[in-house]
Amino acid sequence: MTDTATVPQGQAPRGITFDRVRPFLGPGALVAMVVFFGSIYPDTFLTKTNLVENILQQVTALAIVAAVQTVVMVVGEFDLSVGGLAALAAGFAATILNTATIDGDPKQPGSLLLAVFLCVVVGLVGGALCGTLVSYLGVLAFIATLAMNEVFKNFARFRVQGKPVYGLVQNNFVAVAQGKTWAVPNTIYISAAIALIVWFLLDRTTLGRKMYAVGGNPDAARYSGINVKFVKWAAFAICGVGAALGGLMQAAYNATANTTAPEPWMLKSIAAVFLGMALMRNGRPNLPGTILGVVLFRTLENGLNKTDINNYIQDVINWGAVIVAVLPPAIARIRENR
Amino acid sequence: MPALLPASPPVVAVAGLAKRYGGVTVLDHVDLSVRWGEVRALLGENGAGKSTLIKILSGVVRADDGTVTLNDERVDLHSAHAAQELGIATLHQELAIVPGLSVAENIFLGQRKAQTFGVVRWRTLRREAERLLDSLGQHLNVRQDADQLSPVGKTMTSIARALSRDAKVLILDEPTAALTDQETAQLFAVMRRLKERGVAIIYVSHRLEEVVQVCDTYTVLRNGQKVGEGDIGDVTIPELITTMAGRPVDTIFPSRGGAGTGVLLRAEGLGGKRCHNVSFELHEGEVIGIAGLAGSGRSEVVRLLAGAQHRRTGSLEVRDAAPSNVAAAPLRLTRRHTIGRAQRLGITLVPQERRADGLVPDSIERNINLTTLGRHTLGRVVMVPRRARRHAEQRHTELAVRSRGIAQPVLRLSGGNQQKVVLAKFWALSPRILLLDEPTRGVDVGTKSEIYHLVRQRASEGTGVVVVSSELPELLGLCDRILVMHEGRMVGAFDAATTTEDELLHACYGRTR
Repeated sequence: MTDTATVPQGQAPRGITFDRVRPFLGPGALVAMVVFFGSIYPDTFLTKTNLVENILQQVTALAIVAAVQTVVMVVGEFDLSVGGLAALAAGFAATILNTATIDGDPKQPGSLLLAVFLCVVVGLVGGALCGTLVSYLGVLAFIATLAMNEVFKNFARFRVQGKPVYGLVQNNFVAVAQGKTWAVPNTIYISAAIALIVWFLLDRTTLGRKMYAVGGNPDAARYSGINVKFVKWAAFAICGVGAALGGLMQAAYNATANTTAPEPWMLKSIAAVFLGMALMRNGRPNLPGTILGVVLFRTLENGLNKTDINNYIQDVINWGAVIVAVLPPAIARIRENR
Repeated sequence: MPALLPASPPVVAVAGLAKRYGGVTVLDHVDLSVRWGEVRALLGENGAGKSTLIKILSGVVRADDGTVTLNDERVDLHSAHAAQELGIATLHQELAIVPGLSVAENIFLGQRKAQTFGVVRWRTLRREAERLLDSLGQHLNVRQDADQLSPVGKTMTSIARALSRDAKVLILDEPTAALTDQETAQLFAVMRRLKERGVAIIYVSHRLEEVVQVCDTYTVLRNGQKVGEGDIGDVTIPELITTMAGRPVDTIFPSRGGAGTGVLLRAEGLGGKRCHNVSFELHEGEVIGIAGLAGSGRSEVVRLLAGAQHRRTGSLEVRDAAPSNVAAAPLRLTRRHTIGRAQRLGITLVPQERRADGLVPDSIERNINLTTLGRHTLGRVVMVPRRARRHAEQRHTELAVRSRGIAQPVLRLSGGNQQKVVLAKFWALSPRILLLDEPTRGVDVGTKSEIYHLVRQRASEGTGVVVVSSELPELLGLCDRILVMHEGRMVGAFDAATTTEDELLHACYGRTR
């Protein structure tokens, strides 16, 4: 963080303000963490296996979900149903792909294409349902998506009778997810591609501009001729598809669809977006910030894992760090309004 | 310095008050004093430093330099609470009324009045509240939810709150912005009572006609400096305007152009929420004004036309007003009329509240381009940033927005420049039917005049304009025809060139002469 003298474009020259140092905080914190843990645990932390497999590979599914969570948060809402929907979509796909029925009888696996298609459709329908509730029927996102999360999750459990679905090893489904290209896990490429698509959507399309307008001031957006309800609905639908893809990738990598695996995504994806808002672009949700947030959180988690600190206390530190990260911009905003 | 009132010592005096935000000086060593029972107007265009001065006096912002004395004692206004305790009460433009609490509770908000060990003695509280309001000559039901009060009722509640704290200095910031003329008269009567009690009043308003009526003295700020002060009796409104603007503003209103004969829009028997059976025609190049008291349905008429509000009855016919389709046959609009559809037909509404309905918290560029996103794209989907920037630059120049560039956050601009950004956004649609709801509210005189000229320029290009305003002089100066609304019905149409303010006012109250 030595570049604080650089002035971002369009800002008035007025001393060192929080807005100026903000772009350097996130990357700075990441470097600091890698240096810190790397110097203490050069053999376990600072290895290619740890950095690529245990840190980056581990967050690929979460990164997809956090990316689409960003979309919903850009329009000023949030989606608590991502975990449940991921479990449901992955569960549906898995019951087509598995080589044995839930009861254990051998069965012929179905088509891979059909499974992926079904997964996307479930995500789209689920997301659209949440979007309809929030946008067209006026239910608060908190209760609508919280309840839908339980609906999705338990419907998924019903579908798989509460058991993990094993044996998804057909048609290269698992092989692709577990494979590597140029020594980098394929899942990282897939995540990066989806993140890129979401970034393009938010920053380079008219729909993205409309989303930021709706999130910034829905009334002004409406008077500007934007179909506010549709834009919000679309954000939820996109989020549903992303959640489903995240769930599918997780299932493929583990060769198992497990309804409990996506449970932490609800909180972690929202936390990642908040981290991104705190670290980049004036406190608006943004894709690069979200991805940085996901990686930061995981790096800290992984680093602490190498220590002999109590497991519960590790999580206290992880989430305490989230508070520490969102605090300075919050205080800066209060100061600015004085 | 001219002699002011007889030499009673000032109740409040500030000396050498200075405030800088970053590199920008917003107050440059300003002096100001108000004596016992004096009403002093604090005047200046937007960005002159009035708000900052008020914020310092009400303890919201700390001054970098200078002193504040209250009855010859130097005071430290380190917080809003401290200012209130010292007897400086401020009524802001948006009144601090807590909805859901009664009038009495709002009056004694935050005070330990009529309590026994933390238990409220309601009857005493209400009696006290009534006594305070009585002393102002007001009779309100103090059990009523304060949020249900009329704007003037809320003002009175806030004044009563100030009195309950024994305020020696009362700061009124644009107190009449939301009031009708009758309510304004009511407020002035109360101000006279307060004068008799010796309350020192600082009165901030853009409405100079009112200032001349109710104030004794004035102080004018410009660019953070005091540029004039004296007795209100020694000065005329044009002189005040010149002092505020720093240049003579000889022609506030542009000259009228000739309205064309082609009918752009024909409304027959329009009805919706708070307006019934409204009929009129709008011609090419014509500027129509709609007058009326607050709540008369004047805004609802344009909101109906723009698709911002649901139309229940009547028919609406536009000659498809999109510029490409001027010669087409009249188009009858269905009831499924939304803002987006209206805009595609060439009908555009500039909404009333610029902060609430006009701006998104983003850069000037993103605000200006919001209505025309599809134009700066490849295949209507992919934004081309260079094109978007160029378009925003162009509109920015066209409307003469004063800023540090289109990347600047719009909420950091002054009110007048924010309004220009809003106008630029809707100008970009090149509407054939332009609807403006209070286009100059809270905007300084210089910018007002610029806006009037911009509107006339559009009209001269053939656009039909409808202006809703609570300021009759504005309608008289700007419009060709003025329609008057009263209790949801259209009660008159006047030729702006021949009618008078008095005649319009009577119509607004539903009286005919």
